[in-house]
Amino acid sequence: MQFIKNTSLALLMALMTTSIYAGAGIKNAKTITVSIQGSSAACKTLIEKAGAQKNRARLTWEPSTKKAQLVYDPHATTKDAVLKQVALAGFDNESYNAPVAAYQALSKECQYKGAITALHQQKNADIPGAGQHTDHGVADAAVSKLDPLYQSYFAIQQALVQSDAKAVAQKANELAGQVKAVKMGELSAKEHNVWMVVMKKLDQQATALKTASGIEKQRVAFASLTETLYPLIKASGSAYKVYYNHCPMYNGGANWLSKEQEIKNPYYGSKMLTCGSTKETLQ
Amino acid sequence: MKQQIKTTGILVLLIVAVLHSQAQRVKRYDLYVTDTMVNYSGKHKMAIAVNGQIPMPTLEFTEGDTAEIVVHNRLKEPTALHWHGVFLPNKEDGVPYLTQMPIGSGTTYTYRFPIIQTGTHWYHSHYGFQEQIGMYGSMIFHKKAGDPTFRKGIDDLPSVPVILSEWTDIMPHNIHRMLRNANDWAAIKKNAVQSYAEAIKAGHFKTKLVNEWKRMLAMDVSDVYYDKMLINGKNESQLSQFKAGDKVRLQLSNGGASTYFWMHYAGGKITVVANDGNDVEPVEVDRFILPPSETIDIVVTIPEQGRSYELLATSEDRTNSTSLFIGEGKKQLAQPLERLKYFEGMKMMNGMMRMNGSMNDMGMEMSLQQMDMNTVMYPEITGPAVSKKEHREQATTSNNREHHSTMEHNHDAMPAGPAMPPAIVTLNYNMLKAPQKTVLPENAPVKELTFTLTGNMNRYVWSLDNKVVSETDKILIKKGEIVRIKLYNASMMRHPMHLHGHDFRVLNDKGDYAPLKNVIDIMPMETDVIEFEANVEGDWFFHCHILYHMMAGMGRIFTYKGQAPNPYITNPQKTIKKLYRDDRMFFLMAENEVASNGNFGSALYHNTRWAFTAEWKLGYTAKRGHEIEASVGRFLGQMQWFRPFVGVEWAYRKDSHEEQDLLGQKFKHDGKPRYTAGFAYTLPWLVLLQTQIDTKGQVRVELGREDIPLSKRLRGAFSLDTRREYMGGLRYIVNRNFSVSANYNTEYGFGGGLVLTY
Repeated sequence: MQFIKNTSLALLMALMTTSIYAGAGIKNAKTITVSIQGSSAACKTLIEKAGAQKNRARLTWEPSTKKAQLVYDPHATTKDAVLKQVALAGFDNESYNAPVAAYQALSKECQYKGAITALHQQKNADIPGAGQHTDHGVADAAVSKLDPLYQSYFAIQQALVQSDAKAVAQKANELAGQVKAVKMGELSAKEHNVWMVVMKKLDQQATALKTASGIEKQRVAFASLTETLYPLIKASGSAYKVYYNHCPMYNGGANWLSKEQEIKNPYYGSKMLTCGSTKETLQ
Repeated sequence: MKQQIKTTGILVLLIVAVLHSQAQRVKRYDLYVTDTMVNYSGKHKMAIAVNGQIPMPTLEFTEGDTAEIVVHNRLKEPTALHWHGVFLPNKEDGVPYLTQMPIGSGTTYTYRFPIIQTGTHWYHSHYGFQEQIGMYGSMIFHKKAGDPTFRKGIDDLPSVPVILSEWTDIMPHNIHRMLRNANDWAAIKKNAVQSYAEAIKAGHFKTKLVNEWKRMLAMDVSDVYYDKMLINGKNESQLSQFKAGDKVRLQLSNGGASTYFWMHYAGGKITVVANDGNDVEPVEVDRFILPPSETIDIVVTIPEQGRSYELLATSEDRTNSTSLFIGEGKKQLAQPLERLKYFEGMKMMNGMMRMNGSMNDMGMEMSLQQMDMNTVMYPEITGPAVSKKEHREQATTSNNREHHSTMEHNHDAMPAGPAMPPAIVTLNYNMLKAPQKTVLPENAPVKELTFTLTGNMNRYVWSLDNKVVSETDKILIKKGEIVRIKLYNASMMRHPMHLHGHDFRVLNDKGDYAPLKNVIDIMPMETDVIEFEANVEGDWFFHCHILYHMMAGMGRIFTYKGQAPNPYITNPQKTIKKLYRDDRMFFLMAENEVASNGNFGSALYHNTRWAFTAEWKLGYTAKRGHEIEASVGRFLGQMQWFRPFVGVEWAYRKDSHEEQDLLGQKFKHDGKPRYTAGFAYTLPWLVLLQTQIDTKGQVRVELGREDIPLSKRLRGAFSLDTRREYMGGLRYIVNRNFSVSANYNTEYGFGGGLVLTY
């Protein structure tokens, strides 16, 4: 009997403390229940942290029911203000859905909707003329025999943009092989003329790029490779647009060739991604 | 009888003709301008409402209408309304003291002009700072039925006028004064002080040191702290009339006084279909920046049922945002833009800045917003900010990861970390193409002009070719000629340059299809070329549309040779002086420290070129004495580092004996006035060198610096001079007007107290 009395007293006290605590610091406290998405207890701290406002609002989330108790001061904040912060942390709720990027930034176990893709892929395709600038106008002109070689170059350029040294090395290896394997007889007359001039240099530079260690050395090799490849690709008269771009900052000025109109600088990676300008468009 | 019928017939014909001309209808709006109270931030503040609302009501016309806008000024001050981007007779343009006299308090004024164009435009007060406190509104001109330029799938979409703006609790006059006084309260509020403590924490101590060595003050992409950003007068609102699958055309105008807005949409890509009221070939982007006073028409789609998608407008400094939810139902948020990495920007600036204050673009020919140097500060493109420590940690983990993946050939484990930024397509002026040819008459004579946009951040002086409006004559152009203007921005901020009454072609690589605009935003170090046909006589303002830059005098006035006088301006020579008053205005800054060891203070009364200064040190006893100095000087050069002055000073101390200074000169604090002449020069690291000679031939040299940003709110100061007077001080900024201070002074000893700043 004494035991039950003690226990119930303790329980009562515990209850009182929590209820006192629940009201502590928040004036004019109003309590409501809101629903917030989330997958497991792993998200609990994230949700509650996002929903907390000092002396204004406190959130207690229950993983099993996906419901939360929100205690807040209606004079100082609103339900939506709290829930907006929760959504910005990645959790859909009754008022707001989380931004796609915020959701994707959550850890795997917290991604309650599984993997989702960004809405940015959607296109306003049926607006007349929309999206034209991304259209590179692939014509059905004859494809040069050197095209696989160029494709390797573009792959290297892209890997440099991403500062991915491993991919660069791998593609450079392919490129070096392709340079050696070119059959001169299959080239157009124009290409042939240029090829005779650049052949030796191209071979050396491709090998240099292949053996360069580290992203910075690869970039140096890439800069000189570009200069050799430029007259060749110009002679080929490619079926798609190729942009000859200039970066004035790298080693007193360096160029690169790209299939994309947008400037993505391979010499600095993300540091100076949009630095540079198109000098010439080849087609 | 027959005669009678004939006359009646003619009469009927006449009446029909009159009625027909009436069909070219007059559309009238009555605008009642009144003082009002608003509460955007939790505090009640004064503002201006028109017809009881902020923003002002949307005015809609169809091409061919005649606009009749009756302004009833019920304010206690004058006003004037400018129709932004609208082709009209010069006397209706709404620039007070240039095209009309201001509309006096309590009077009514009618603007009347034919609508001869289409598109999204807006209107605002051109009087004082009224634009900042509520006087902006949308103005939409619809295409006539049967207009050959009507675009199916765009012009027939449901459209909503959207006007962006900002609100600050501080009165705009005061903001302007604080900007001119290099007051950094806005930076404190925005957490953008970029102090030494913050620099050290971010591993950028050297960056900050070099920055100040090159005499630059901490720079932000914007100067004013705003309490709220607004879309159609609200911070958050919803267009719930639209459903999934709907395409909506939003006619955006930036009615903000100084804010650039980044715009992006939670529902996917944005299609831009018009700019500054002129159609452009649709172009699809992820985001764009809307400079002050530009208009952009966009089309967005609502992807899913029962959802509304956020169109998020974020101020360029990213301290504030406003949203419009499009669609019905639950709100899908867009990803907010993260804070700027200020020290990366500072480092970039250091690299570009020469010691003499001019900028070096390293051979990059920049134009048309194609290369945004601020990109180094954008976390969404260049990865999140990392402190030095984190950087080291990250390097080691990524090494490990690389090692790991080579061993396992596991390519899936690669993403994470500061990954490759997604390809974000941002609109720039080179992507704009007019749907029709915009070429100007081939045989017309061409007048070539070049303007360099100049400015001085430290003193907040903005100009063209280092001259403000009042320091230059009007620029004479001839009707029928083509005016081609080359603009180079040599200042450290971007400027939206706006031309009244004309659209200009922005020369980009679209050749004959170069877009037509009336505002061109030009970033630091960019060069852009615009051209327009001089086809409407009058005095037309060409100015930076950042309100505080315009008021500082950043602009010019074009005028036509041999034009008819403006009937509203009876005495043009006298009237224009009132316009010039704007950039000749003086500003007062004062500071007084009430400390335990004395009362110290200074005052500065200055404008673009002149400065009156006063400085006082008052001891509480006659033994401590007092020292008072006053001077008047003029700033020279574009950077305004050099200021010759003449002045007067008194120094008195009871029982003072003769002293000897470092130069061996003997002097006494005898209380007699001494007249001085000298100069002040700003040295690297912003140290002020002051050298003067007085009527007795005594030379005095002083070195000092105030407001060294030690931490976000802590400022340091020191000074030393040849009279062996040394001073050091610390000041903790409590709020806009109060600081707590501690100082040491060789004359007055240690002390502490309270500083009042105005």
